[in-house]
Amino acid sequence: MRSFKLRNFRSGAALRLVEPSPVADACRENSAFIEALYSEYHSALGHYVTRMLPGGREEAETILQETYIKLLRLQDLQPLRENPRAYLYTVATNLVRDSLRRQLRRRADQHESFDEQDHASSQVSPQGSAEWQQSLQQLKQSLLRLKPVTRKVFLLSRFEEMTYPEVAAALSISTRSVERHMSTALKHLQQELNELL
Amino acid sequence: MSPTHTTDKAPRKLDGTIREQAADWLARQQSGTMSAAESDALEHWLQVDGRHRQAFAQCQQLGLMTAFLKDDPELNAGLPEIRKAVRRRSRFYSQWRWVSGIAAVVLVAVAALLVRDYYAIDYYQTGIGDQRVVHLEDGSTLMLNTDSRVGVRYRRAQRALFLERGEAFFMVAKNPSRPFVVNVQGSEVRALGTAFNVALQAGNVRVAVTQGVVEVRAQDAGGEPRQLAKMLPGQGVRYTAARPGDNSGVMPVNLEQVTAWQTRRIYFDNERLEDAIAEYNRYTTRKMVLVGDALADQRISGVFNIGDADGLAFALEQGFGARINKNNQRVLVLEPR
Repeated sequence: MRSFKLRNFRSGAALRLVEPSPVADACRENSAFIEALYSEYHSALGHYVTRMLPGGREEAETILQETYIKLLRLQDLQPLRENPRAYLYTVATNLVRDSLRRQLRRRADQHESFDEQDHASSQVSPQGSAEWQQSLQQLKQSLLRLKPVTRKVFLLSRFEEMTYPEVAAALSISTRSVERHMSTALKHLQQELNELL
Repeated sequence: MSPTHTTDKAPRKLDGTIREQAADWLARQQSGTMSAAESDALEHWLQVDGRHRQAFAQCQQLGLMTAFLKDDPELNAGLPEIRKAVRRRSRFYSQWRWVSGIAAVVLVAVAALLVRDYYAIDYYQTGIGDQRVVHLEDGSTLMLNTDSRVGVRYRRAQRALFLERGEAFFMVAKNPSRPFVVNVQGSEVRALGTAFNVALQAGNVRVAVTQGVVEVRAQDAGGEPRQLAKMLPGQGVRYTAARPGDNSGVMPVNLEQVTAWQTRRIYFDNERLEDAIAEYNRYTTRKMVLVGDALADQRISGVFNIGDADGLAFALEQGFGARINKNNQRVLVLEPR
């Protein structure tokens, strides 16, 4: 389906190029600009994305293609021109996020069976590419360096999708502090995982 | 919208300030309590600079990646046990959010039927503020307190029940050849003909016996099942589900207090105010929120009706000079001026 979209779009772009008009010129210019940007960032962005999802280089390549398509579809290139790197990384990150969400949902579906082992403890072994495993390790180490209460707040919220009031109740703190701890955790992670981001 | 706020020479790497702002914004957004003005402000903040959007997206990304570490033993080690009890529910709800309408109902119903037939575990559960009495096929009776879930699997040799969250009272029909065993996060509460109460809250298990003899077994450090306590009516035990060695030993319990919920009452006996409010909140979605620490350690005694915010609020006003601020979603308890 993805490759279909890609092909479809490219033929669309080609059609537009046929018309000899100022609009077509602008289009061509934009396409060239995007093309240049894309190849400039392709390698760095590829490494970035590979670290951000389990599926390795292959899944990353799909994300890159989707990123490219998104760029080509842009009506207004101004934000892209202002800060191409930020723009590209945002688009790619958002696409990665959609993909991760789908995978988490699938995982949850698989867990949803009430098998007997569930009453003991079921461990799911982590999978994914070496890069992904490495990122998760870094993330884990960074999480372990958080103050315990901040870590608990963050993990309860992230692991169990607990709301702030639920987390607050579980840890006997205020919802206001939950928000503070969430923010502290995010600051800490961004800082420590700067290389990753 | 054509933002001209930023220059072409924006730095390539994000600076710390932007990252901090992004963290604050995401933490704020996740609270689910942003005002319209705050939403607009966030929207504006995202619009004015591509780096803001990037930092925000990356914060979301870090949160999402963390979810992939959900089964990591080291990260789980420090977490309160409550998470295990809510785990299945949250999965259920998170799926629920993705599908909607009748299709979802049908899907879930079919899945539940399949699972039930195959594993022969019946689940009974209650929502917040609900209670429910279940008569089981052997003549035993199960009473579920608020926000609770119990699985029942009857086999010829054993009646196995699973308290997955919340609290339940068990009145057991006597049958010596078929033990009645309530499993609570790895520990077992065993009974012959008896009545007893089991509560699971924030990873702590409380057992109280009103009739007969009840035995609690749990695995010791070596994984061997061991007797933790044997109790008579009026006795109880408290322990941490994850570390049953961490227990109170057999102690006398106030049965009136333990069973008050069965008549939709909450009984506070010299309880810390903060704990009392947490207890009150178990029964309602309109949570009572204690603001500030000044009142947290005050002690409160008394009997209140479940869900009666006005009654409790009145007592807090009169007894502690608390200021009450109510709306439809919550009841704020503020410190005395």
